[in-house]
Amino acid sequence: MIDHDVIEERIVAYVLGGMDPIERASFEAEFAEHRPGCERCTRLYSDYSEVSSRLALAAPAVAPPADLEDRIMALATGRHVSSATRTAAPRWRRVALGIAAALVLVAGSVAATLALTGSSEGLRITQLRGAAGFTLAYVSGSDDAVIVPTDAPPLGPGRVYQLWLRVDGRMLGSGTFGTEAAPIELAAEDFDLVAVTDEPVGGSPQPTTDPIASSEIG
Amino acid sequence: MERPGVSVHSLDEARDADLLRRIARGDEESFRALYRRYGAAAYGLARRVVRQEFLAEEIVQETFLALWRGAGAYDASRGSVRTWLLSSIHHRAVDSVRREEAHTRRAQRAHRDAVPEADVAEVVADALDLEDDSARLGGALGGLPPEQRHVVDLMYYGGLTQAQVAERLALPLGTVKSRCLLAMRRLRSALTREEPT
Repeated sequence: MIDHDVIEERIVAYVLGGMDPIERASFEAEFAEHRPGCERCTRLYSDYSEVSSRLALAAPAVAPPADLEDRIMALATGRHVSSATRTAAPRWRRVALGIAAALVLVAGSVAATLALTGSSEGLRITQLRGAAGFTLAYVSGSDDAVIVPTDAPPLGPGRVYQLWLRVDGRMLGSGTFGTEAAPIELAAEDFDLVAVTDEPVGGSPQPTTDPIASSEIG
Repeated sequence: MERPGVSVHSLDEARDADLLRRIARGDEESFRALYRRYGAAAYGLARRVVRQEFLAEEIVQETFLALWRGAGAYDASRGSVRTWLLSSIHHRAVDSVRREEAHTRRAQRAHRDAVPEADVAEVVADALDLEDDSARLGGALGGLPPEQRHVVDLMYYGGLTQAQVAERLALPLGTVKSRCLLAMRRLRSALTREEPT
C-alpha cells in the first residue's frame, strides 16, 4: 500500500533532485509500478515535473562555447563535423592563429611540428606516446587546445578518447574526442602530465582504463 | 510580443516532439536544431548548479549524446521534450556536484556559494523565447515565504539532498520535507492557474 501524501512528498523531493541515489532508485522502481493504475499520481508527477522545468528555466540561459555543438555532433555521428551553417566560434578563434598553424603543421608533418615544440608566443606542442599517439597543441595560460590523434586505433561503439591533466598528483578529466583532430578545452592551466584514455561516451570523472598515451610536461 | 500562452506552448511542444521523432531516425539536422533551441538553457542550468564551466560543458554534452542515442525511448505522454531534457541536465548536474564535493570534501562550499535569493528572480532568457515563463516563475518564487524558498534554492540549485539541507539548516528532516511540499504546491497552483488546460 502506498500512502498518497507520502508519495506526493517523494515526487516533490525527486523532481527537486533532493534524493540521494538510493532513495532515487527506489522511488523510480516503486513509482513505475504504482503509476499506471493511478491517475492522481500521474497527474501530480507531470505537474511537478513541469514546475521543476520552470525552475530550470529561471537559471539564466548562457550561450555554451561555440565549438560545443560541433563536438557533440562529432561524437554523435562518429566523425568530424563542420556544417555549412556552422556559426562563428569566437572563443575558439581567440587562439586560432597559433593553434590553427600548429594544426596544419601537425596534420602535414609531425616531424615538422616537433621542431616547433616550445616555440612562438606561448604555443606549446607536446607528443603523447604509448600504445597510441596524439599531439596536443595549446597556448600556455589559455584553456584552448587542439588534440590530434596521429596514431590512434579506431574506437569501439560508445567509446571516446578522453584527455587527462595531472594537477597536484590528481588526474583531472578534460574533454573527450574521437579519432579526428578536434578542439578541446583544458580543465587546468598548470599541469605536469597529460594522458589519454579510452572511456565511455560522455567521458568519466576518473580514468577507468590505463592511459594509452601520455607525456610529461617539462 | 503576442503569444496567447497555452497554444504557443502546445505548438512548441509539438515541434519539439516532431524533432525528437526525426532524431530517433538519425536526422542530424533535427539534432542540431534541438541543441540550438535548448543548448543555452541547458548550459545555463548546468553552470548554475555545478559552477564550473568545463563540468557544465560535459553535462550538456553527455545529456545531448544520451538524447541522440535514446530519442526513441521518449514517451510524449510523460511530459514535454523540454521538461525531459532539462530534468536530465539537472540530474546529471546534481550528481556531478555530489561527486565533486565527495572528492574535494569542501563541504562548506555549497553553502557559501548557495545561490543568492535575488538571483533566482533575476531572469535572463535571451537565447530562447522564454521571457514569459521565466518572469512567471521569478514571480512565483518571489512569492514563496523565505524559509520555503531557501530550501528549494539549496536543493534545486545547490544540489543538496533533503537530508543535507536539514543538516545545513539544523532543521528536522520532516520540516525540510514539508517546506518542499508546501513550496511546490504553491508553485504548482500558480502554474496551473496561469495555464488552464
